[in-house]
Amino acid sequence: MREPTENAPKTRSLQFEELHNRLYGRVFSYVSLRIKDREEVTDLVQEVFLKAYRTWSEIPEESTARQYLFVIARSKIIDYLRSARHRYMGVLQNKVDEFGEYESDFDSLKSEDPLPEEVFEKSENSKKILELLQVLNPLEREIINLRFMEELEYKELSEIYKTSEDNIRKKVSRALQKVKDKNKIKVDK
Amino acid sequence: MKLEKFEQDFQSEINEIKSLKKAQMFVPSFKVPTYKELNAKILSLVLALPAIAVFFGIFIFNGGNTENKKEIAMLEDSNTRLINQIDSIDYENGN
Repeated sequence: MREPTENAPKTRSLQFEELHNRLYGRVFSYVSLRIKDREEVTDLVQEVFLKAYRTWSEIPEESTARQYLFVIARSKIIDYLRSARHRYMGVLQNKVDEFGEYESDFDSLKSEDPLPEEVFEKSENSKKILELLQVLNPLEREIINLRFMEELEYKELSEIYKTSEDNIRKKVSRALQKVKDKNKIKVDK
Repeated sequence: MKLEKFEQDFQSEINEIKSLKKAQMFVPSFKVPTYKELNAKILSLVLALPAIAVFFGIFIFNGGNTENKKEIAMLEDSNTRLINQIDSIDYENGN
């Protein structure tokens, strides 16, 4: 039997596995920003990668793959939040905002909901910044995370959130203003 | 990453956000359910269903049978009494 050579092309499974290992943490932290239960997050992330694996006949390059994974993750989060809402409230709201989320999601989700600290490095700096980000609602934190930590472009964000680039820019601007105002309050104190 | 014009007004906030570092995380291995595993699950379900059906079938049948047996026994008793009555009438009539 012939031994596989070093230069033999990688199988699709192997390529995907490598991609999975590189991007798992990013998708996990993204989902954690919206869903608190770590086991639920783990299950959802597994579903995200499984869907990607089944959909991709060829593994795309990393930047495209990353964007696509966030699109799937976003869709899974919405489904999860809707089913959780339906389970607990028994009523589906009909009014959605431009981000496809029920408007009352923003109202009902308190800004005091703590950020998933275990996702970030434990340090004084992290603690300070996480406290600062508490002023944002969960959707704003998501978008800020994707824009400035994952460094996605507005075009990519608009595809993930299925809304216009201008809407995303407005959201980012409002979120940054909130953080700035919070910083100002702290300094004035 | 190149900041847009409006973002430049928030340079210091953005720098703070970017300074947040993600923790090292355990990455589980990616496992796709293979056809072998799926087939094994389907096969076990296919075999289990008739077994469950037989179990409940026996239970229901025996339960039903008991009822039938009781009815049959009652009918037999009733028949026996009728036959005995007929015999005694015949005897009285000298048959």
